[in-house]
Amino acid sequence: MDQKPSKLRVFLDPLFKANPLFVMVLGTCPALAVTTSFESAIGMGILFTFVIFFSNLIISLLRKIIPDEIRTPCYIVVIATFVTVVKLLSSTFLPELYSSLGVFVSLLVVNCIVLGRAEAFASQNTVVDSMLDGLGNGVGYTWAIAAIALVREVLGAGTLTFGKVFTFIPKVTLPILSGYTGSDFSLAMPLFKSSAGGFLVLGFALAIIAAINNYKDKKAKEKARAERAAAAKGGNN
Amino acid sequence: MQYIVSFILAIVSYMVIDNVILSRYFGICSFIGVGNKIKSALGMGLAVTAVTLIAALVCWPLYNFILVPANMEYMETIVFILVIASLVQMVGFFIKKKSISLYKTLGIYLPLITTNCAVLGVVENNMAYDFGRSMANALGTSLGFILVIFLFACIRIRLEGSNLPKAFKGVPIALIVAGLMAIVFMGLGGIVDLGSWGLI
Amino acid sequence: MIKNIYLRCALVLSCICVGSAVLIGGLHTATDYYKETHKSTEAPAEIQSLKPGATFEEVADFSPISSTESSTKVTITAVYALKEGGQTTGYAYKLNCSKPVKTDVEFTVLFEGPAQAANINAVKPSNINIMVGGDSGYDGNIIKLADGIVEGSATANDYSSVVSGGTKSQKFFIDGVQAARKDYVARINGQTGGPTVEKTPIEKIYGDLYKSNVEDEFTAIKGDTTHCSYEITNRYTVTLTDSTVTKAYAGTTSFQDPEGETDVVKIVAAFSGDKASVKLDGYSVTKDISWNDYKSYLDGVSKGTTSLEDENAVHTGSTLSTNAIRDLIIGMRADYIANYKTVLEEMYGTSYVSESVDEYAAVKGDTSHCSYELTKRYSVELSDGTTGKAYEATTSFKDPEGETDVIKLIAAWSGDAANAKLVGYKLTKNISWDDYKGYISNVASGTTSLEDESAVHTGSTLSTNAIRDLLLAMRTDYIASKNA
Repeated sequence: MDQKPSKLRVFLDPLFKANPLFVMVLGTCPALAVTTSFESAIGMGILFTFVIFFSNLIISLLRKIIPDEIRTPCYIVVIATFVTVVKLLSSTFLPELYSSLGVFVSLLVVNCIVLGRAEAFASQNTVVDSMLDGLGNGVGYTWAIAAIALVREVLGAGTLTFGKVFTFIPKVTLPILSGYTGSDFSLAMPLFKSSAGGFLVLGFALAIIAAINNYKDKKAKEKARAERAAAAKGGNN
Repeated sequence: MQYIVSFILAIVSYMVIDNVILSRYFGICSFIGVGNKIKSALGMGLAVTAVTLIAALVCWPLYNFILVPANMEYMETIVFILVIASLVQMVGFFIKKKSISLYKTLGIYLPLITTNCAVLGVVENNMAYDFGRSMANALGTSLGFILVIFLFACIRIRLEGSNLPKAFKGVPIALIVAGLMAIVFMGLGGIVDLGSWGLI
Repeated sequence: MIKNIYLRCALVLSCICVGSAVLIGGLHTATDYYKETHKSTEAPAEIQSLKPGATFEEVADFSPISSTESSTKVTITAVYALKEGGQTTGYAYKLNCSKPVKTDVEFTVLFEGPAQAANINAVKPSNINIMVGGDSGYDGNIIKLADGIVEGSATANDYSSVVSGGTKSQKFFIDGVQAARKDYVARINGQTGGPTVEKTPIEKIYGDLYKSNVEDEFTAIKGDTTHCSYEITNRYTVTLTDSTVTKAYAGTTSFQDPEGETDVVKIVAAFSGDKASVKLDGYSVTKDISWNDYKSYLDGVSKGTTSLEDENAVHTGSTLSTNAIRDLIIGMRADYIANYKTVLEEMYGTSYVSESVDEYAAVKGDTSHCSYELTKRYSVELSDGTTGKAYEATTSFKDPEGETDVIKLIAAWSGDAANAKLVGYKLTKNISWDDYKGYISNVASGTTSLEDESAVHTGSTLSTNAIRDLLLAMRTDYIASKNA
């Protein structure tokens, strides 16, 4: 087992290198369902961060007490508790967000990421590390689904609407591919609002990331090969 | 008679028109991971069906006859997920006893049914329906799941031999194929209008 | 710690469950408390924005009602009263307009100020909020239409302000505005304490108070003419408030329009009168088409200014549809005539052959119980060769409050002088205490004898005695006519 990564690494890794959605391809169900609206996606991300932060915290706290045989049911109960907490809080304070996310708030309990991090990390690491890991995964997931939502909403509706879900923000509709409401100008493609569009956008996003990784790998391989060649040359001299 | 017909139409509607994976976004993780082995895909589909049906059967009365009268609707998430988790364990034991090979083929996917959004999603949706419609939902969802997984596995077999750009290999092309399948299924929208049968 | 593994598992799991229950229970109580203390006094955003700052109060006991307006299903989902200074000065509606398999239009609309049903086309909404705009990409047109209606530059009275680009949703929207407007005109004048009830087609023809039964034994009649194919799907027996019985038919007619498309019109038409002079009382369209000049034709027929036989009257401007409607109505009328039974025919049943009115001087009488009059007498030829007699008669008596009650009926008699039998009766004017009906039925079936004075004590002895005296008088007259 390699050395324990530093605290900063624990937080930063899930943001890019080990992004739960783009790299590990986990938690795809909400990533397709709530990303028709940029605001809803950010809202979902916030709720998700809350759940994973607290569940990581508690599971890490209890990691020495929970017997190995029943660890899955225990994790599930803890996670379900926090999902219910989040449901109660959001239905009271952010009812528009709650109704726009619908059943997917409850589905956070079966979100692969939450259970996965609990199993892989929180059960074996300190409380502080687990909290940072939870935060990192939360932020990483949030920006990932926000990015998908940005593409889908702009291409699908032509406008970016704020204030519909977070009602404390004044309602603002930014016309990007489409004119203001009531005008006839629109380059929007409603395909992206539908489920098919979600699959396509995520597929292309993953392909782009894979391409970037392949490129980086290629460059690294070439660099290594060049170094080996240089070392061999130098060795021969 | 009308009831039977509307029940069948509801199943068809939930199976094909409002397909669980392609339209309702449930069960995508398992869908992507299913790979190209038809036998394991079907096996997984059947296991999901069993769990979904039993879970729906158990959770609906649990919600309507215990939680609601006790004003404890907010406990539904915890109760449902515990029921599902235990059901998955039981189905796992059952499969292990009946067919070790299937158990081995399913491997990691069996416990993953617990985290399958489709099962919990169906059970959550059923809270709003009456019993008949919730069973139609469960049946339709399971059948739709099997249908799409099967089609997808067949397509992936073909994908193996094709010449894809390296970046698309694996998950990206799977998602794009899913998107195309979703477009195909979109065309079926409107065939059955549950509203005109008084089901909405 | 605890060595036994099972015990440990159970303990840990139950502790976690208890902790979870405590946390959630506590939070639930807290959020409930918060919701109670922070109940918003504002109406939901889509209603409030119709008139910011105003007070809207949700109308209690309102459950969503749907109606069909020009073939759009309009559902009023919520009604809010606009309160100014405690008085209701307007109503706001939340509506959903849709047809199956089409995108919905959802909007809220506010009407303020007085409004009259007679002037309904002038009622203008003060504000409209489109929440869901129908055909995607064309919602701009609905918003423009809504703004126009509020301003006054567009009209909600018909489809003339509909522009191309999502016309169906715009039409749904106008249907919705009309439905809300109808409800408003009733509600603002205090006529609906509750939700507006959609009138059935027969109610629309005859008005509110009546009863109609669909005849189950009626089998659909189909017909094909040079103008159309029609089908008469249902026949109804309609009983009006004054006890007259008429018939109504529901039917469909379909024909080809000039573009080759098949147009379908569904109507309900009501007929009354005897075989020789059948009258079209009225009609109600349940499925319409856009060129509906046939309506003016039907109005003329029901008024009597246009005759169904007149082939020239059909040229209204939409000759195709008018001809199709005419053929349907003629088909309905034919069935009406074929099945028409006079009142006496109904009473005597299969033994009825024919009837005629007797030259008859009204017979009046007074007894200790009532004053009666036998106003008219009919001779009815029966299939066994005998002649029965039927009487139109009236009896009046004083009720315990001193008011005069009047009962009018038609009673049918048959049999020879020795065995005069009451065959049946039909009330044309009734009173509220009608236990005497049980008495008459028993007399007609033979279980009660007219001679038996104790049988009169039905609970409404006064009226029963009055009826008995009437029946006795009729019987005397009947026997006399037999002996004459």
